[in-house]
Amino acid sequence: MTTREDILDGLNNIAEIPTMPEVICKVDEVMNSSSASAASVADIIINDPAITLKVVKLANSPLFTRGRRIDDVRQAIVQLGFREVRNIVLALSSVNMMRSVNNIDHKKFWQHSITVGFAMKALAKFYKKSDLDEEFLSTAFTAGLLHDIGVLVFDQFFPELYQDVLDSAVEGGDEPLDGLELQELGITHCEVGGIILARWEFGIPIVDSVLNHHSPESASEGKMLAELLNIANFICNNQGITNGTPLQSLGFSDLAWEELGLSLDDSREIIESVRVEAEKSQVLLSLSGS
Amino acid sequence: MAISKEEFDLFRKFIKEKCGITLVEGKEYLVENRLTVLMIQSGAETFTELYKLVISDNTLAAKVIEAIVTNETLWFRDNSFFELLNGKVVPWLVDKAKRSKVRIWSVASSTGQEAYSVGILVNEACIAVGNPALKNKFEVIGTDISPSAIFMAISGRYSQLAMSRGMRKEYLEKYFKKDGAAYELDESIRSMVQFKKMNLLDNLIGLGSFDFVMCRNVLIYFSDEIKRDIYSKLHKNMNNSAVLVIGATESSAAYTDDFTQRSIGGSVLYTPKGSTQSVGLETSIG
Ligand SMILES: C[S@@+](CC[C@H](N)C(=O)[O-])C[C@H]1O[C@@H](n2cnc3c(N)ncnc32)[C@H](O)[C@@H]1O
Ligand SMILES: [Fe+2]
Ligand SMILES: [Fe+2]
Repeated sequence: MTTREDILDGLNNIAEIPTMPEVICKVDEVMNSSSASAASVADIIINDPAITLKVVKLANSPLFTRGRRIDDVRQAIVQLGFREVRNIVLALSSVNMMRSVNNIDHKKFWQHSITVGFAMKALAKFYKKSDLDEEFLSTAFTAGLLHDIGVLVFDQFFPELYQDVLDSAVEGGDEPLDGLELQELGITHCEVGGIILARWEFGIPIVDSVLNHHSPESASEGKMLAELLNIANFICNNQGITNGTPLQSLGFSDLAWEELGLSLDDSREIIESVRVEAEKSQVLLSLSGS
Repeated sequence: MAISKEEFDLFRKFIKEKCGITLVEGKEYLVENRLTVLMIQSGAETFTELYKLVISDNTLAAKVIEAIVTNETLWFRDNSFFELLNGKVVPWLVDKAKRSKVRIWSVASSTGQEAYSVGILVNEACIAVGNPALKNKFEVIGTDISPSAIFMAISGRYSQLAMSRGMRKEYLEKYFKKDGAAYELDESIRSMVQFKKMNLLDNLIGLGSFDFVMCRNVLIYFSDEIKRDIYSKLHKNMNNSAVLVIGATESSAAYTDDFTQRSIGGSVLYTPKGSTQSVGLETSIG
């Protein structure tokens, strides 16, 4: 069997590969129904006291809200909007998945992932598209948060194989990570991420975008998300917020930038806003106890 | 896998047809390196198979082109050129700045090293003549076709690898701040340079006219016809006393007779033909 087949086979048989956090399944279900309200979302979150406490703390952090004190989840939802609360809950529960790390710095990994999640939303606001609704922004956050999940799966379940990839990255200089993975393993973190997210029953656009985040030209249903991911990911790397693998900042897809309709005149502002998002993710991460 | 001579020729012909870019013999390793990943990704077993896929798949074709047309650049590229710049051209420009605004153009600025290198030298020269504020009379413009390269340039952040390619220790210490794994260029230099997206095949008139133009290591990629066209456009964007420089291994002779060639200390400069001011320039440079 080739290494690629070994890995695909392993993914099918590993019992411990986590499932989607239950609270997120429920929150998403309620939010996608027409009866979604602050109260109905709050009801689900309150069932998880640890998360409840963190959400309330975050809602009181000046980076997330200004103004009056927030005492409970329902107020937090009113203040932040329930999509933002859902994003925060997703981030907080994701950080607790696959905690036993081998070669990857867990904290760096999530700092990168959460920042890319927030940066997706921030970036989307820099181009005007009529189809940019709250639901799209929420999907964009999810895609950002989980775009590199394949790296974590590699590290957790195939640590020796992945160590070889990381070693070659240190020596290799300016080879991109997915290129090294392809050469060493015959499969990339993008593909593994896509497989896991499909198993967690995320929608096709998210799966497609994660699968193609380093090659957005090849995306189809998730094209716009993949393009956003490609650029948000680059900007985070460029600002030193990397996922813990020793990769170089190689640039983003020129085509993605053009197709989204982003303007280079906004570059400085975009960088500033990504830095603010990085601070937010830092606050979030410090609460998760990571 | 090694690329054969025949396969290299296939891709060479393809790239030439698609974007007028000529790959010279001896660049096999580059094509091989860059295309190996694409070969695996596309499921091709050989470069010949990859080629067959490429000619019928526009997305793949775009990837091949992107992989081969590089943004490669370095700080203070070509020693003798920067010596000339520092010794002659920059002092001349600084002198000019005492009387008027001075505009400098880095024609294919890539990730910004060329434009910022000049910015640093200008800043140093202004300090050296005891008039640091003179640098505000300078406007440095970098243009490139690649948004990604321009974004990196604007970010002013460079990896260790990028810094190791030509940056001098004294300037590194003076103008860069280490932030994590990156080196960030000081605002005093960043604010001197503006980057814009510009395709050299398009109309360039909107950029206005320049006093000093660097068009280095980009025309090599184009066909003769396009080279001629671009030289003629550059000429239109230069004022009468302006100076043009091209890459160390390049020659403009076959593509334009708009310029007079002047050879100074192992480097070549070009001035617009019939320029009266160029005589004064020659004395101040020569
Ligand atoms: C090798 S770099 C040269 C950088 C710098 N001038 C130097 O000499 O170090 C070539 C640059 O030309 C740019 N380029 C290629 N075709 C172009 C075009 N049609 N218009 C503008 N820039 C182009 C590429 O994006 C790339 O950044
Ligand atoms: Fe990635
Ligand atoms: Fe990433």
